[in-house]
Amino acid sequence: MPESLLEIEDLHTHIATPRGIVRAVDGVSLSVARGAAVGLVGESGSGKSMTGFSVLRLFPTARARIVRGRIRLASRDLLALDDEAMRRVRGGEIAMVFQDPATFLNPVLPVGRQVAEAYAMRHGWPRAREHAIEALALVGLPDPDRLYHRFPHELSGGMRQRVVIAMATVCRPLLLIADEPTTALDVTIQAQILDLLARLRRELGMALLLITHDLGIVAEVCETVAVMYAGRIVESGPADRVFAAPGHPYTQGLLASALSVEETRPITRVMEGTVPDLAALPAGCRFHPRCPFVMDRCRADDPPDLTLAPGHVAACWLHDAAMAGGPAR
Amino acid sequence: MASGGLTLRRYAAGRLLQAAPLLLGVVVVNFLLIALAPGDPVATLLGEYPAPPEYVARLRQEFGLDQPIPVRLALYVWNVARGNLGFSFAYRLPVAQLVVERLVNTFLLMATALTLAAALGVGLGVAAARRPGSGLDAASTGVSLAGYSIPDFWLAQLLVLLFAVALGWLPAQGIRSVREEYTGLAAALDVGRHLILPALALSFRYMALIARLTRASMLEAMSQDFILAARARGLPERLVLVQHGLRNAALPVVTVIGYNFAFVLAGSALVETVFGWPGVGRLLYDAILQRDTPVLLGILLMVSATVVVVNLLVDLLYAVLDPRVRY
Repeated sequence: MPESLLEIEDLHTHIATPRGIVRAVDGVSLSVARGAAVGLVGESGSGKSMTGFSVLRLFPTARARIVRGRIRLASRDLLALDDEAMRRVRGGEIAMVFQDPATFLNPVLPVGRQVAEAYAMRHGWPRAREHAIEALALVGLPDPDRLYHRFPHELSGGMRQRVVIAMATVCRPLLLIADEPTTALDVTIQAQILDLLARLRRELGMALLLITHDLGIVAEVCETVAVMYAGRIVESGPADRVFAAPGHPYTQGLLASALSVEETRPITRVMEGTVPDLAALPAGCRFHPRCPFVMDRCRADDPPDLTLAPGHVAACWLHDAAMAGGPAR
Repeated sequence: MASGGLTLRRYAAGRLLQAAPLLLGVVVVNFLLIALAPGDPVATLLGEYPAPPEYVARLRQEFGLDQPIPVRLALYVWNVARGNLGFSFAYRLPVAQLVVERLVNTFLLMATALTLAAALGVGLGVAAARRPGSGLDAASTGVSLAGYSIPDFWLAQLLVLLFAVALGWLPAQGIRSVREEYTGLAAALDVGRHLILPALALSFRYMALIARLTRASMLEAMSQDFILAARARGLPERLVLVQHGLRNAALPVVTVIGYNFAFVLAGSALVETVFGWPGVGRLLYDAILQRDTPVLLGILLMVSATVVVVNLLVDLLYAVLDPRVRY
């Protein structure tokens, strides 16, 4: 068993909205081993990004708040740190890469400077410049010395995302959280960025928490996958196993709708419905209104995590020992 | 960046060329307005004393007022084009010399007021934007509202009443002390003491304007994704605020400061009158009362030219602040 780096236990993150409390993250437990790559998959609104932000204790909105749970990084309790100590964790031990490199770069500062900042804050300026140029070279950008002085608008989308990744990795973090890092990019560039993330992981020995809606990307980059639905992880396990034998009807639906694009199946399966309102979740299993296998029990009781195989769990009553017969596919 | 510098220079030269017809328009319109307005400089100069008609006629001829308006206009434009702004009826001095002397004093007052307004306004705006809805934010809104609402000449009188009359801390009139002779640093400090009240009176409205604008602009900038990215890199909040927030929020603020230059200049006329500040505003006021047409025209022309140059500088500053702007 590899040493665990990040441990999230029963995390609850709520957002206060005029319509009521949105339970964006509602009891998530997840662990990332040192140097491992974990994919966190789900539709938009499933709470996967909020899980990532919770780890940094930094939210895009001031209305979000972690209300319960534990987050430990290398056995350090992140939720117990004071603001100043937590600030030093950000960009140091944990870094984050975002979806749209165009908006996550400051338009009026040279890119090299933005890469250098996090390092300079910790070790001073003269060395930060060298490290920034090194980081720019490491992410595969040509002529990093000159690139240092260029502005974001002078770079292409792919180059910008490389800069954003250099920004995140300049301090050699233990964990990189990548939130939809390829969604805003062209398909050809997507593959390059994924290769880059895989290479950086190897060369820097950092762990990767990849947040995406794209199962193909997870299959390519991650060994472990966790599927999120309406603020909870409904299935998790080794990626090859989850993809080969998905245990949760939601995962099955996701896979079916993803595969149907590439394979010539007679029936194209598209999942009906949308993610429920996180301010007003249904009783019982939160997936039951969309589930093709829904049973009476699903409407009443929330299913616990049930083990399908070593390391592979799904929160679905279909796998309760009392219920004979496996999932119908 | 050599080519960038060249295009910048070409842009600046083009803008200055465009200014020539604009300034010609300013001269013609002002000349006609003043020539057609009621009031006679010679009559004003002579006052209520009865003067022999021959003397009046001689003065008219000497000032060129006996010529028809189109001829006077053509002569004036021709002289201005050669750099001759004419002679003051009242002071019997070259207009250029008179105006430049006063402009220096006005610029001292304006520069102080604008610096004060920018420093306090930006500071107040940033502080308010940091915690929208807080007590500080409400206080800054209140101060800004007061700044908009209080006419500067009235504020000037209040300041005089408080700091000069009641407390006796600061002088209320003029640019330097009349009874003492200072030299060197003491003289500069003396001017500085005289500068405080008029600069405060002139700056208050712009301080309010800049504070409101900075607040709005900062709120906008601080909601951008790159602010989140900066925080995710663990940058201290002060750095996030200044380096990433204010740096982006500065663009509209600089524009407004620059384009309000003309209004500050206009506002200085009132404030200079209240404080007896020997600036161009005061000169303008006196010139209007005395129907001193050459001085009046000279001031309007030089002020227009200044505004053109300042606006150009603001546009050029834009390129420095925002690398995306190219000319």
